[in-house]
Amino acid sequence: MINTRVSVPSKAVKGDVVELKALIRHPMESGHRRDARGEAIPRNIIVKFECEYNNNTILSVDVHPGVSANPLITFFTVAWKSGEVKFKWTDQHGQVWTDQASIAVS
Amino acid sequence: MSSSLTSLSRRTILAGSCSAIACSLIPATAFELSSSMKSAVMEQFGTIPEIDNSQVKLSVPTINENGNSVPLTIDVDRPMTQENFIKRISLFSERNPIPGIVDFTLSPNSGIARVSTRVRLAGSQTLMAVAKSNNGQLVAGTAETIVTLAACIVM
Repeated sequence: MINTRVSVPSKAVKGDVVELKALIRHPMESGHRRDARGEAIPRNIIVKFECEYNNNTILSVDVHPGVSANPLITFFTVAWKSGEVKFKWTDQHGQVWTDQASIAVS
Repeated sequence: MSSSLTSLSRRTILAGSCSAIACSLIPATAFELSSSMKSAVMEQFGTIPEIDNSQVKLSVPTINENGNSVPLTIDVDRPMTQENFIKRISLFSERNPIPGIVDFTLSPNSGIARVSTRVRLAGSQTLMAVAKSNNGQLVAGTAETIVTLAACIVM
């Protein structure tokens, strides 16, 4: 089961730097481990994370197997306009998960 | 008389050589970055940047019981303006099978150049974060961490 959780402040004052958090439930199988029979467990990882705020890319992350299972990414943005913050994760097979939250800037 | 002299000198030589070996080992492990990490940094940035831990703060727990999930924060002490901002922050490991752990691409709208995540570490090591500004300036920070149970070994 894969699901996502994001944290975006619902309200902010214009010009404030606000903290954003993005979590996805994902095994991040590194490809370096072996199962009980000694066979290599194939790699299965998230390779890309992107965050857009009012259609401007705030952060894009290239994720490698060194990132833990259930990757949590914390980062910042300047709140300049009310709108949607969109989060997008892509795995190595091209599957995409998205999440979004809105922020009201006064 | 002569036998006691020889045994004494042998002991002195042994003690002396042991301490010499110990002295030569400690600085090598503490200050030299591994070649796999260096080549990964070279491949991505073309050079080994100057290390300035006051500009690039890599915060990581000193001791981790489990290398599977080590929380860390990279904080680059630079203003983020439209003309001059930190564009890329990359994290490298000395001992992981793949030295490059994660690459963040920031925008001037990020406000501050600070990112956090959780990583896997295959043992105690020095980590290196490299920050690149939009005009190509490079600066790096390092942090040492102890991992009692390494990732990849534990199931």
